Amino acid sequence: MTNLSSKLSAKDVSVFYNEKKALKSVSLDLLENAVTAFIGPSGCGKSTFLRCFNRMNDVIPSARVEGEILLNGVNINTPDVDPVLLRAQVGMVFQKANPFPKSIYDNIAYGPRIHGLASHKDDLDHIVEDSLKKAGLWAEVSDRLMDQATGLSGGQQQRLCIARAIAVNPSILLMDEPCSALDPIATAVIEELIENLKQRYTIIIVTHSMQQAARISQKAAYFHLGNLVEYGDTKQIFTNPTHEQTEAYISGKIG
Amino acid sequence: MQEHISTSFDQDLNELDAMVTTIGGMAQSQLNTVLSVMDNLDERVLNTIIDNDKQIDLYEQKVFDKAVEIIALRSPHASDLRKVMIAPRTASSIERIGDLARNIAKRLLALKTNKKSLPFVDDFTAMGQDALNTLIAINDAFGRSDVDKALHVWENDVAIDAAYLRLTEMIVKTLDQGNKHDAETMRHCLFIAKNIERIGDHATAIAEQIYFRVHAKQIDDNRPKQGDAEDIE
Repeated sequence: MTNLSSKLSAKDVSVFYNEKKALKSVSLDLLENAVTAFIGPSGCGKSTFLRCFNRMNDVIPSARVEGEILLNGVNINTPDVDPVLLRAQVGMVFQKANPFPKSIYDNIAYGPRIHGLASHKDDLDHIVEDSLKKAGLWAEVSDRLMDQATGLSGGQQQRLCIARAIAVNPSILLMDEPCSALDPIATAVIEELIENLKQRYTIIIVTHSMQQAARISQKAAYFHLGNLVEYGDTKQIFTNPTHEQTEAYISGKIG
Repeated sequence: MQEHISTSFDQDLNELDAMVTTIGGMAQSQLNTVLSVMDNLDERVLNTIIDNDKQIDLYEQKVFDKAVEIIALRSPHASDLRKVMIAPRTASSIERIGDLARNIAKRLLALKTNKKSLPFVDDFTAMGQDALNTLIAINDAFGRSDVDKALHVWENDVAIDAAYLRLTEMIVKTLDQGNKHDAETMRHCLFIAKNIERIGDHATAIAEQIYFRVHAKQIDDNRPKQGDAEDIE
């Protein structure tokens, strides 16, 4: 699978959990090779929206997604699109790192193996090394690739999960509060990694930390009760937001 | 010096410091140029100085905007916070120095228009050169966070104050002794002298800002003053 360009947009996307409309007709174009932060209070729909981009809402029985999610002009929100292939192109990292109970090597090699990305072991070794290097983890694990991944620290496990997502050659990376479980230093290391990764990938990050959104994103989208309230340059959102509601949230004037 | 884990944060702080150095250079250039034409009162050069001041005003706003951006996006703390808070204050002091150089140019232009020359030109040039050297020193001290150099500037403002008092005494004596120079010319001289003296004051303000940036406290204000440099206003 080649690394395709990463034009991503949403048109009138709504998500229902049974009868409850959790996301209300959201449209936006994602900036390529940039970090976009989705921010907003709990229950505002930001994680629900994030999951639309790799059809992860499919695995929630009560969820129904309407509208179009366009990846390179193709609507992925149709039965024609293979969600497994999609989730290789649109990788995801979760709040709690979830390494497989396998070696560091096998965690990274798993995806390329099942997607047939490596015809023999040398290729696989190269993919593993390249992915770990891109995730900034190679130097710390190169001499112990056969160790259990679960023996790594929290920050290392999260970088492993990023490497695992990178290994199948995505063009988009979705990150759902990837640093929530990490200490400030581990968080800073991951943020620096994200800063570097955006040169290759389009990244969307859901975060509860406004300071994190301010630090690492170029665009920010503020959600409230399922509505996209404001979407713009991060610098503008955090110095002079257009909407009072946005100002209130980022200033901590509402809960 | 320790670097941040975020390289782009380091870049932002370095860029802010570089902007202060740039505006310092702009003011230095203006002052140097106005001193160079105190003798010949070259109208073209004087008008250029006056026009160029706008660039310094605009650049000061850029420094402010950059500091706001860093505060909004990085939430700096401790020494980082002091750096970001001090930079626009220093830029503002430098902008005022730029204004003073422009004001000197305006007064020199007025003399030229009245077909006069600047009396006591050697004294003015010497005092102006002291002020310029002070500005160069304080710009350098800022760029290197050199507190010792900043303190040296802070303590030696007394020399500019002393030159100011001598010059103003000469001006007043000239008026007392009859109209070798007309009152309008002497008025310009008094203001030019005051403007140069004020440049020294702003340099000491920058010295205090550098001190605070490094030590997180104010200089103990026992700065020596020559007489009362605020006498003539």
